[in-house]
Amino acid sequence: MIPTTFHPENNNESIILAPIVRATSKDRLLWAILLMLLGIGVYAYITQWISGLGVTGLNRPVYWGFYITNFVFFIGLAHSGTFISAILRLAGASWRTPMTRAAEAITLFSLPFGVGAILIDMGRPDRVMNIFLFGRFQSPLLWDITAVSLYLLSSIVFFYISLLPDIALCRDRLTEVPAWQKKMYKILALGWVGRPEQFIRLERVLDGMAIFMTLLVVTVHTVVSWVFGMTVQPGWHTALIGPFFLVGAIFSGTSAVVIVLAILRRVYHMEKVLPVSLFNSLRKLLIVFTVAWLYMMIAEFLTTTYGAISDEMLVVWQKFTGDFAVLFWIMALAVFVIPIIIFVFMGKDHIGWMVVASICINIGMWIERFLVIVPTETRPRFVSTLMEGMGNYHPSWQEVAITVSFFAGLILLYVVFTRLFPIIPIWETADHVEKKHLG
Amino acid sequence: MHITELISSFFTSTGPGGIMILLVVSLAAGTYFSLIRWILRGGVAEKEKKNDSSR
Repeated sequence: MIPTTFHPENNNESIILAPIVRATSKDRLLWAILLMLLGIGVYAYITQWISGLGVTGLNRPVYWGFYITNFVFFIGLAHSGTFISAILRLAGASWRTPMTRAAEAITLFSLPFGVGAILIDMGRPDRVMNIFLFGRFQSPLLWDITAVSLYLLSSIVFFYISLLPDIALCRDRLTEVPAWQKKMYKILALGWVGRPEQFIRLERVLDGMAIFMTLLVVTVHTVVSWVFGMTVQPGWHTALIGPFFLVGAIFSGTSAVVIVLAILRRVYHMEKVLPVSLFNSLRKLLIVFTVAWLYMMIAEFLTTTYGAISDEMLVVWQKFTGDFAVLFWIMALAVFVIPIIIFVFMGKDHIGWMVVASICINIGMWIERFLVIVPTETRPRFVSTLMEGMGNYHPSWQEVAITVSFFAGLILLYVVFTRLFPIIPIWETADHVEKKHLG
Repeated sequence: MHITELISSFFTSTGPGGIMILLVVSLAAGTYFSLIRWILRGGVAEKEKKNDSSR
């Protein structure tokens, strides 16, 4: 009998589908811990909602602290999926296929926290409606909201349509899952039957969207940087800020992919599906990004210090030797020195070292985002207008708790997703012969 | 009103920006909806033709 739904044959199907089972006690424990951290964040936000932004360390003129650091960091992290999936798709890099979904999931689950960070920073989130009611073209915030909303919507669609054949596969193959899960697959599969023409159209749409998503990646993080760059504050008002933010975003996003892939490989026993060669390819990319990031850093500081404008130099010295020096040099070690040594001398064929370097990069990039934002605010243009006690920033427990809860939320969404859907694309990694037959 | 003032007021007055966000996002949502429908309908016409000829 001819089956009604066609699924491309994949020899690793059982390995990929293995994690989609009933949750184990270890899973439940992890979920409980993550939910608890998320709950602490919600409690912190409620106290902020009741008492106002005064409970945070934000003050005049330091209006943006941990929250906006999180906004820039999470939006940057979100670039991993699009970079791996869309840009490498356009480049025809076929080695990317096993990790596309894992990367896209980072995009999808990071973006809500990036957007959420802005709403939390506003103190009065209802005021976001003012953008829709009184939006003005000159406002970089308007461009920002437009770009981020479009990016969020496009990422959801890009992720979902590439997941469609695998949802249909789950619908047809996973007969022992609970009834609600079966129903969910049935609804989300949208009646996919795997006709050859459906696959051809799907590939065509994904190719087309890949071009659009690449443009969006560049637009979104450039526009995020312009929220800073369009002001005349020292350290921000530079044409380099757009490319600098973009390189940093793709850099931290790609290293986040390394961490996620290594965990998936270990926990779900996916050694066969996620080979060491995949990590070696990522290593080469990360070497390029590490050097590109250093180039941006040198270009920025050399230009600023050579000009030696007094307002700019106050911020530079804050970073080199002032209040933020310890953080600055930790960041330089974590983002450049340690990773480049690991990638060049120890990373090849050693996933553990790659993970160490990637963790360093992500910690360093969070600090880097903080250092872009806060030192400028503590030493703004017209620094002479600062009064006694102004120009300091000490984050409150609410800000720390909300930041921790963001990371917990991201991990929770990711973990739950891997227990419900195949994290490795089954149809895209299917046998070549079978795919040829389809086309 | 001079034409340049009219264009200028479009970009400087409050309001049109908000409409732009809604337009961009809803246009994208409509396009994506059509694309998903188009993907899912792939091969339906051929199947119907086949069914007709076999009758």
